[in-house]
Amino acid sequence: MYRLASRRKRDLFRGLQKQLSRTIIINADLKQKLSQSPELPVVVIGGGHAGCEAATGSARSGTMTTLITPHIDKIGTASCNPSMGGVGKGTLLREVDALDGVAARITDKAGIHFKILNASKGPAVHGPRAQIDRSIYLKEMQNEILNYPNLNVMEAKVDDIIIEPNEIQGKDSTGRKYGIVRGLLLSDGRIFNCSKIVVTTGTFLGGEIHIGLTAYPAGRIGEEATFGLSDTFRDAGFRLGRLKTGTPCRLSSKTIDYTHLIPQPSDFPPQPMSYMNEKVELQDHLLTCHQTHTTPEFHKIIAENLDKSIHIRETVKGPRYCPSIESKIIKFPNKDLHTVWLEPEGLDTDLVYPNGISCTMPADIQERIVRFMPGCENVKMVQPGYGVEYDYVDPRELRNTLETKLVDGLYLAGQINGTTGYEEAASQGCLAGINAGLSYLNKPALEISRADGYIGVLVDDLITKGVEEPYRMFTSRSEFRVSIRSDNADTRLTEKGYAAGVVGEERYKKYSQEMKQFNQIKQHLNELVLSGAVWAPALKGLPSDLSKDTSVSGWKLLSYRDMSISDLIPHMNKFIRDGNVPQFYENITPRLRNKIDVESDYAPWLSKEKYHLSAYNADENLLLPLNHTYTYEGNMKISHEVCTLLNTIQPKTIGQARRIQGVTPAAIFELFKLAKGNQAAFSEQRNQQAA
Amino acid sequence: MVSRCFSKRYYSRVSNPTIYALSTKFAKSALGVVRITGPQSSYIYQKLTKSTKEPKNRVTSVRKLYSPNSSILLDEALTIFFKSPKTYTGEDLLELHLHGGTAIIKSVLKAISELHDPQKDINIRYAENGEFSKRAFINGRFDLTELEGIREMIDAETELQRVASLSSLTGKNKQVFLNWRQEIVNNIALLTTLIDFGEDHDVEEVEQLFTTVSENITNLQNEMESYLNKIKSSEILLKGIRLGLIGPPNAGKSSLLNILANKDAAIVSEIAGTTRDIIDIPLDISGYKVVVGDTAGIRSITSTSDIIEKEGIRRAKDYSLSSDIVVIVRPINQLEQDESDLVSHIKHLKELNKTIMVVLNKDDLRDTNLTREDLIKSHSEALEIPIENIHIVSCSTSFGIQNLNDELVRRFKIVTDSDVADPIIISSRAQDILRNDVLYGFQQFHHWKDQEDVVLASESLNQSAIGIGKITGDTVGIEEILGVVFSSFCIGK
Repeated sequence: MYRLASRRKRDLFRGLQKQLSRTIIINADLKQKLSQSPELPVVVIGGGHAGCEAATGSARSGTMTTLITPHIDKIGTASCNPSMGGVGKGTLLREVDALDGVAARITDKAGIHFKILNASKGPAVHGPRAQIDRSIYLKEMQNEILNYPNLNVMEAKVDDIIIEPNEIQGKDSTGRKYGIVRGLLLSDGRIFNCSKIVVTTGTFLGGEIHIGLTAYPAGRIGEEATFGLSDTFRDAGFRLGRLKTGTPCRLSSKTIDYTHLIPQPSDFPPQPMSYMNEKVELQDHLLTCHQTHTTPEFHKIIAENLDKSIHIRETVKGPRYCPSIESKIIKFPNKDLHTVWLEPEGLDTDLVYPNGISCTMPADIQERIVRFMPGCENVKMVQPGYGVEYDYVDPRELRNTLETKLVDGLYLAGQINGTTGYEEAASQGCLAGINAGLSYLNKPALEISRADGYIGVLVDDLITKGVEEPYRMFTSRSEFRVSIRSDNADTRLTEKGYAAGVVGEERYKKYSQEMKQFNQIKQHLNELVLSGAVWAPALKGLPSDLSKDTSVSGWKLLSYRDMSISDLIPHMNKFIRDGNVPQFYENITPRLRNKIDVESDYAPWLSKEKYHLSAYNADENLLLPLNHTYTYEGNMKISHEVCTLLNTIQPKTIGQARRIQGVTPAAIFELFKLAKGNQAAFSEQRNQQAA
Repeated sequence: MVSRCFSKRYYSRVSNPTIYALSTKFAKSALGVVRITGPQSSYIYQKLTKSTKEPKNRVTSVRKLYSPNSSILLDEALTIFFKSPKTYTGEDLLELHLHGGTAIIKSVLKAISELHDPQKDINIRYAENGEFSKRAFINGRFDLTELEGIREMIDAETELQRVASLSSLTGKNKQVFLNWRQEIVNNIALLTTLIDFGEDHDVEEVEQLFTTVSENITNLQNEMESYLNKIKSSEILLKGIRLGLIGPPNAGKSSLLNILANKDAAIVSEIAGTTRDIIDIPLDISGYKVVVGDTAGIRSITSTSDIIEKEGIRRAKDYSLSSDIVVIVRPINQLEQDESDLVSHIKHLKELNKTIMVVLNKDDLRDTNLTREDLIKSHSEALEIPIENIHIVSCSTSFGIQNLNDELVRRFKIVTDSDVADPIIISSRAQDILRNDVLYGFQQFHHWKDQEDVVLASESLNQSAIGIGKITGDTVGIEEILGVVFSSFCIGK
């Protein structure tokens, strides 16, 4: 998509980087070497948000896992904004937590400002978000990773992945060879025998940093890019593209005058991100964010200097949203100001992250313009913003386990798949790592569908639609957002994860107890049918209250507007004939209270969504053949364009085919004909593949 | 040589068979139109006209058609050739306008079928029902609204109906639905902005969005409701206005019908009715398709001589209940002894808001002692029908026929609403979806708007979006919605 005009330049860099001759086709010599090399069952390359979840996820499956990174001290770096979660993203984070992942727990240790976004719009779209102390997050994540059971960390650079052609499978419909991961080669010449590799290289794959008119290879500021692997992917035949992202400058807090800025305090008490926590670690040290804005003078300088940013100039077709202040000013020239959120980067640091003005202008221009923002008249810029351009692999190359279709044992997660954001990366890492570990043990894969969670939506969107711009999660991407919420990720995934063997006993026990209490209360309230006269003490005298003579169950009563379990509990003894309130009404945690309120609130709608779910499942259960070559021959009346789409994406089910943009209703009708009567055969095909 | 053989085999393997069909009715008529579509269309043209040249694209020409086998002249016909892809089906298309004799049509169809030669990879066969339209759809030439319009057009028989079908075919309906679809997408985009980007992004207009959407949806709702009402009127127009005739056989019903109907097109065909005793007769009255339930078997509405006649009366009454207009025909001189049965039936019809007209026939045999005004008055009192709904005619002298005709046409216009604008034809499937999905989604939206739940309100609109997508055949995807969001609001940090 974002293929560079400066491709030649990049090739030049690559030539310099490439020291060792790379080996894709395995020969007798290499085979011999591999057989004598030590084995690493699962290797995760990269230690960012995807890498940390992949490594810990694989380790939880019980498989010995090795995380390889060039700098152990950079593990868990939050390279862009110091915040975790948000609308949609918060749900992803909770889902990772429900699968016993690490990010949400570390966030509760490092969070210094917590807020439930969309609090007024209903729990279906609540977005838990936390500002984190960047250095505490890094320290706590490293502490977690270095002490995680079944997980080793190796400081090294991976130069190549050794792939053996898969002679049995042969070639795909476009003539590319299938392969199997056999090992990896480090830059110091060491070779390891390895069959499962998760690549989470983020922006490091062919990464190039842009500031003003300067461009140089790097993955993050001050860190080298990765080139060997880029060639590995290219040589294996993967379709690669280029994407861009960027980050704003950092300011010195001491030089900002906050007196006239709008303060944005944290929620208090904060709602923890993880289901394992009742309280966040730094509850007594929470900070306040502030809001400022850009000005017409600020805009004028950018508009006059657009030619001074290589990042902007090289855009053939940018993303539709506005990731940088330059694109905001280009696309919306009539707006006089844009909001900027000043987010402190931590407790013991002077750094402030000005959210909303990601910028790739030359450093001197950046320092000039930030001083136009109210409160920042004398601000000191500590580090300029910059743009990064990097390689990504067309995610339609992936299965729903995030293993590539082309190379067995090769998993990809994070920005390499064309996504943006920590939470998107972490959730992919979690899924890919878990599946790499399970696959090594020959256990059934953990598949998460769109009906299970946002992780399922994310993965299905990636593998079905591909990406044209960095992919971000929004609640509107889910067709089941009333039943898939940030508050119920545990009910949706913890049981499933436990059954797969990747959720620990401690979490499962905690979850089971809470669910038991929830179900007891739900059942009790459902059976407790009383008249309005009896419920009266709990009612608030609202016009929406029920009349004296109407009888409803307690659960139904909770679905009335503004009714909460907190209104019932103080009067519970009046609602029970003998006055003995059951024990399960004691010790209700804030989280459980919320769960009861939300579930009862949405109960009427959820029964409706069940119909959609069953229609969705009907389509999802209609299998299509694996590795099928679609042609216009015989009885299939499918146009050439649709055939090309189907051959590229290889949808597993009618449901997936339906979601491919460009697949017409007429083509779906033809696919129905193909699916009809062949379900047993297609199912057998899957069994054979699994064996 | 080798490569030619290969390429030919390959070609036949991937190409469609060429299909042909008689597009007009197989009956004696002025013209018979044969349509041919597929890769062999040009080949068929060359064989039938004994020409070696390709037919010219979109040029009408008069050509002699021969039987390829016997070289016998079959007909001199008008030929039009449309080169793919800009044709109805998206493939090459040939039209032969033949002279309308059944013998000529038969011989040309036979000549085409004889050109089928699988040995030479020439696949030609008679089209299946709807196959032209299906190819059009597969080749992306039409969306579902357009196709439905075509099917209705095939069924349409009279001029006004043709106009209605054409408005669908030329995409007027399509445009209406596409506009609605766009409106729904835009409004979902506004709610998406509010939900996914309202708090965390740089959107000033947030507070107003929910109310704006609510107003937009109310407008859309009104537009759709009035459209559906128009469809209902159009349906009467398309299926024919049901005209119930009540009256004894000697009242002169048949004469009246023949005189009212455009003589050339009077009785098109006979279609068996729902009961054995009543036969539906389609008529063309001043361009309106009118279906008359002929109740000729009934001697008299009040006669109760035997069981079979009682049954006949019951059925005639039932029929009149389902009519759009009921005409009671009576001989002008004849007042029954006991009118109570008919009067109570009229009362029932009035309750159902039926248009009732009384025609007093045989003015030429009128008792000259009685004035027309007196007769109208006495019939009006006996039947409890207002004077202005009673018309005196004479089928023999044509007295009053023009007035009656004008009055009927006025009534037709009212029941079909057809002088308001062009009639609309939408399949019942589309109407069901419009009512049960799209409009229902709107109602749900308002329900949740009242509860101030923006998420469930937005989910309700999604149901409307799915519905409208089913009608236009173009589903609404999240990427399209996000496209609207990002182009309307400055989003991203």
